[in-house]
Amino acid sequence: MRQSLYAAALVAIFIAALVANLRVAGTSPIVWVDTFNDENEVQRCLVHDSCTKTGVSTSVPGQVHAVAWLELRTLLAWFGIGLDGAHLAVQLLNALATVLVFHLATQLGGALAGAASVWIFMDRIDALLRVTALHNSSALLFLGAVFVLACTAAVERPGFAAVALAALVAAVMANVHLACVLTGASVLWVALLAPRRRLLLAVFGAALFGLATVALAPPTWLHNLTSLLQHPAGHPNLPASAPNNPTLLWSLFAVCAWLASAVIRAPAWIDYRRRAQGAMAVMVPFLAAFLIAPRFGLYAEPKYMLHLKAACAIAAVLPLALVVETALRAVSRRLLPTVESAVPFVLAALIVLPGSLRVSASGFSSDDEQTPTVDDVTTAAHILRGEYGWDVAHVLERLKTPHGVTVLIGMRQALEAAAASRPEGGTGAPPTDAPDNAIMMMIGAQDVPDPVPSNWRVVRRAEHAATVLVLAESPLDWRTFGLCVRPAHDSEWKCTETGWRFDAAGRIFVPDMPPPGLGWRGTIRMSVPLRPTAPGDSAAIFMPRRFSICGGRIAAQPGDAVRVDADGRRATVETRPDRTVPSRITLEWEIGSPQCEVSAYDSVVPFIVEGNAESVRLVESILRKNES
Amino acid sequence: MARYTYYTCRILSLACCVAIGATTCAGAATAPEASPPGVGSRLMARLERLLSAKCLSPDAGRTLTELVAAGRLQPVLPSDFTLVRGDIRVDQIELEIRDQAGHSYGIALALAGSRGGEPNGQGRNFLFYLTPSPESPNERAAQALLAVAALFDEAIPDAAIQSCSGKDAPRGERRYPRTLSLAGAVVDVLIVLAATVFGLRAVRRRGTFSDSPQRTQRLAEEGP
Repeated sequence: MRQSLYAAALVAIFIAALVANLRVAGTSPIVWVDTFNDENEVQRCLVHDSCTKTGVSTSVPGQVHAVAWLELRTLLAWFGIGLDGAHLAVQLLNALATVLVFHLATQLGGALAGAASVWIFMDRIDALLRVTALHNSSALLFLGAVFVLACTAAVERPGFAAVALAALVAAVMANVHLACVLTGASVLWVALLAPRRRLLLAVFGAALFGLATVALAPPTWLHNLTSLLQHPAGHPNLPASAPNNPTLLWSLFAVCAWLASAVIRAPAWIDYRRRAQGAMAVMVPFLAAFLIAPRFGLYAEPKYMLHLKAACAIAAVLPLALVVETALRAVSRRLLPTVESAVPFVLAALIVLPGSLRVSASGFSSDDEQTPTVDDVTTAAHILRGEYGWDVAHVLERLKTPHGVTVLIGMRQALEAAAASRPEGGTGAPPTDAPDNAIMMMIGAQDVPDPVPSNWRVVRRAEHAATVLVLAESPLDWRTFGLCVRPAHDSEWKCTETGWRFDAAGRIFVPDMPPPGLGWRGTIRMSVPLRPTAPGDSAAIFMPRRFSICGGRIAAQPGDAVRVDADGRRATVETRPDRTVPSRITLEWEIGSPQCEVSAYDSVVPFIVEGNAESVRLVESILRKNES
Repeated sequence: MARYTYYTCRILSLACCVAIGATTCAGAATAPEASPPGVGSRLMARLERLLSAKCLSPDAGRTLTELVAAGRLQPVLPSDFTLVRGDIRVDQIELEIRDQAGHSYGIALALAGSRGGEPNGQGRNFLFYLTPSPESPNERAAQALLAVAALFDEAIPDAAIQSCSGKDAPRGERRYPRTLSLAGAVVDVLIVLAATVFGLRAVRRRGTFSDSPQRTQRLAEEGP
């Protein structure tokens, strides 16, 4: 009976955690540059039989992540599981991790400890991770839970098998995320706790960890080692931060409680110190490095603590549970079993109820996300390809989006996947009446016009936001355009003719544009050909300004058919026989100015709104409303 | 016995070839027709490919740049196509042309042994793989790409193709077959699975609820 009740509790917690994870993370990942870079590698590996063993770059210059995450994604893709499926798999694993944490804490400290550990484990995950995105860190919550289980097993049942498994899990984690290379110290810790042959076990554990880590991706570690030897002092140019998050606070509490308990000689507390060793071994080495790193100029972001969440939750609740258990037993010996039986189910109910447990800050859910999902991009790609015959080149030149080049990368992947699976779906040449311009953006759900205009397509409508595709005729011809660049504090313009390009490595770029990043400041000027339009037609261009958008202005134009507003943000082109239409229009952006922060510039043509005057006016009114 | 002698000789000849950083091991990459069948020969072929792999040096890129600058593409590339991209990777070259409607077509020139699959053409040093373009298939584009690929293949000197394992091997990322990647993922999954099962069996300390037999016994031992 008790076992079946416990099994029911595990199932209830799993289902509740899965529901909560899906509510926060959604069923489709958001468009994210790491996601698409990974996907590009996965497709190169599967389709072209050309796989990397060097991995992908990290936020630490010169260092790369190894390939375990890419290989796992490749395996899923080989089984036909795409980005949405991989995102769902991560949510399933995270729910499984919640059950593992509950079970392990229950075994070590009773059901009260189990329930409390789940609360800490699920609390504010989004403070460490953009849960709606899919990248290598997404796997660390689950792997962290498995690792603390493996380390606890090595403490409980010391021996070569237990140490070997802990070392191998640590090696896998180090190959998923570079920050996890410190798990090697945890393996050493648990090996040294063995009652017999501890030195032999420690040497064995360390050697196996080192060998397995390198063997899983030799080029990665050769590259990282070379880079480290060339830059032994690290990269002091990176900003050091003083991280402050709940996981850090709970970790510090766990360490303090463990140290403070050393003065208590009661058997229960001696046993607690032993039981907590697995979690402490996972937590302490990384925590020490994390706290020291800023002193050496290394950028210690809270996200690096993600794999510690399970260890931190378990280590923090064990002393608390011991105190509460003692108190309950002092009140009544019958009270404790009743409370322990009920608390997992109460916890499951709390997890499921929105807002009752802070799975995310401020009750955030995927419906509040202001970035399109992979599903949105795929749907839009199917519309543009299936109904209007757009291919990748058309999309690059004609799709405008405030969400940056990442949407274009995702659109390209979706179009190429669609073309590979259904070659007959695209015509290669757009129908003559097809719109030659589209805007894809997310707006507030309340901003969607009612009724929806005929040239609008609502790709997805959530409770608070909607993804829309606005189709229109464009006054601008983006096939080739003039580009002039002038760095700040320089008087000389460097001009060239350029256009959109993409390559087999998944990159999308505009040749001769200044590089992205924090280094470049200056002015870019584009001279874009105007398309010939029928007499009486009226087109417009609007330059939006919003956080994360590089805002620009329209230069005064020759010819009386183009009228530019005084602030340079809006131009109307009216084609009439008595007016002179210029052949080109000049747009200008000042990178590093308040209108265009350097972080908003991504080395391609910034977002502008263009189309027939009516259509632009509607989009402009929505964007202007949200500018403040 | 003959089989083992054969393997030993092959390994020794490969080892010598790699040790001197030679560019003359190309023949070693090709298994002889008389090689014995079975797992051993397949492993041998893999090892040979690994040790005798060839990489492109920066000279290959310089040669192509000079070729394009000298206008030598014009005779083979019809005027309605433009070469828009040429990426020199460690063991292959990727080319892309565009027609006047803006449609792109690509081809990869892969060094022998660096890529699987049926090539669409072959030159002196490279195998040619057309990039599928199902959206707008164009036979003229394919012919133009194959002609450009043949031109490049002829132009790139042997000195620009070096042993990857030699001490002067060019820097760059090597690519690996998907089997290796999938095998790596399976190993990762098995490790995590084994650690989870072992951990769940090893950590059975206090039972589940406080009135379970294990915990009742333990609480009695601990006292109030």
